[in-house]
Amino acid sequence: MGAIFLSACIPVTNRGTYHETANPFLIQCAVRELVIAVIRQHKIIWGGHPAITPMLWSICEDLGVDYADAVVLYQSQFFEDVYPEENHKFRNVIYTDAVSENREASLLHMRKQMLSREDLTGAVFIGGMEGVETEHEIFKYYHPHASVLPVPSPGGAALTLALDHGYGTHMDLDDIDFARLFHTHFAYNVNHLTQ
Amino acid sequence: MTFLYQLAVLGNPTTAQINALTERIASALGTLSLRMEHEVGWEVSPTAFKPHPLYPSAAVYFAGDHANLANLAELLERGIPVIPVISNFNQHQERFPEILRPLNRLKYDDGDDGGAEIIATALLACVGLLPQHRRVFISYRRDEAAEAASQLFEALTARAFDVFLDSYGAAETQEVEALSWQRLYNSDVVLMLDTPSYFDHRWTSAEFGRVLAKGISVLRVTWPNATPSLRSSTASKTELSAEDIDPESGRMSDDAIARLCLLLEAVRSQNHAVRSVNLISSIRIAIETVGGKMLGVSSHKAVHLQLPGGEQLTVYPTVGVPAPFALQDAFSYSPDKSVAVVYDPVGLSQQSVRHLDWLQTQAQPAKWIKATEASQQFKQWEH
Repeated sequence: MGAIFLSACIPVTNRGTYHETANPFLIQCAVRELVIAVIRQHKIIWGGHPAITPMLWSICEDLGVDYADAVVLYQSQFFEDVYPEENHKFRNVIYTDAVSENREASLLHMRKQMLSREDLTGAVFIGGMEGVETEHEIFKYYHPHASVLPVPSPGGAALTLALDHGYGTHMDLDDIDFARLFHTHFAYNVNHLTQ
Repeated sequence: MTFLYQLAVLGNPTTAQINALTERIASALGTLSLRMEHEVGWEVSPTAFKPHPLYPSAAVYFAGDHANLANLAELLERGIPVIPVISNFNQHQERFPEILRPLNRLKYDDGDDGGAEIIATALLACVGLLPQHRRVFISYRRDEAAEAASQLFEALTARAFDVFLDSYGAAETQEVEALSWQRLYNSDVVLMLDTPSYFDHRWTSAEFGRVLAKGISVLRVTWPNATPSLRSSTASKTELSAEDIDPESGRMSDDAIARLCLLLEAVRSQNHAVRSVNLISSIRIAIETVGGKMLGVSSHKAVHLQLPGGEQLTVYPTVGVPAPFALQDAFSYSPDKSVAVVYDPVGLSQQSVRHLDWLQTQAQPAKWIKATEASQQFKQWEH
């Protein structure tokens, strides 16, 4: 079973202008529809978010999927003082080393570990801030030919990616039909990979 | 201008029909404190009806000679409800464009004052503007926001919302707690009064995750001096200023109440649109996967499908918890057709899902279809 990298986050007002285009409810819905569309065929690899991770637990439970098998969460030990309590509940957390007590270096190390995984076949970007743009660059470095899908309508950094890197050329930037978007994207990529 | 709800009259209505329908719609909207051409768009015989995808939309189509087809095919492709209407003057099916003929029609009796009422009700139902569809769950901490919660309860009830007050912290029996969860799962919006010690006392991560998994919107109203939890980041947000709330009585100003009611309407309409689009899309994907096709959506959000063998099936999607009488309603709306109710099982309580699974074993062919398993059900469908 291949793995999909999910880069998703809700922009906040004191970090850049990403929040100006972001729609938090659409971020919630897009992640929801993505997980429903792919979780039975793919692992999801991501860094977690306190507002979104519990939603993934619930969806996996309702679809009869073992969350600990289907989702892999990466966490840097730089943040061990603020780990969510729930990390202890699940066996699917991979901890990466802190680097020189430096936040940015520790995050970079974690992202490289996460994104250099050989089982990654694609990446989806939803909402987000500068970290999403960074993760896009690193993902493309390690997987230059893998599929990349920034979802534009929820806004944030993913919209920026869609506009600035040409992904949005054939996309409807206002499209909220996430079920169809993910079904079409992943069906195409399965066919493309099996030809 | 972007409207919160978007309605259109297409085809070949008479002037009298337009005037009667306009009056009925405007009157119904008034009971919800909504206004035509302010919060609700109303297009009559446009060249093309192109509603914004983020807000609910629906159209009626009056049959007739030389009727403008507008962009009917596009609307049906998008899954926007189109209600074909026949009247005394144009009652032959041949007067409808072929793409509308498989859809459920409504009859407009020009000699009966109630004719427009039926059409208006059906149109408003398609965009979730009947009072029974407007469900809000007000969640608050009793010792920090009781007065404000009470004010909002009254204001939203006056706007024909079905409001549930979840006063966590009171001594609750198991029955009361179960009722709270049932009402929560059936709500479009959780109106969260985020006072300083509200969120972490009220919600565990798992509980709040379930709310989001159901696709429910959250409108977070942050009190002065309250710090929102990161766990509620997907909420639509607004903050109260010191002027909005009296520190002594805990009462909100009238302006703040009115502002919140309108904001909640916007959050709610978006929720309705996005969930409906994605549920209908799941049905389309499921039927196309097995070689069938979706023909369109009509009154009562009936989704008309053609199975691979050519037979027709009408399914009624339910965004919240399917009501016990949903299947009975489906049969009454489509008396001569093969019908089923399609529901989204993700985010439902396990008890509800078990009950629906049991119901499915009692009815052959399956009448209660999980959206996540729809393609298998369509493949096996027998009359």
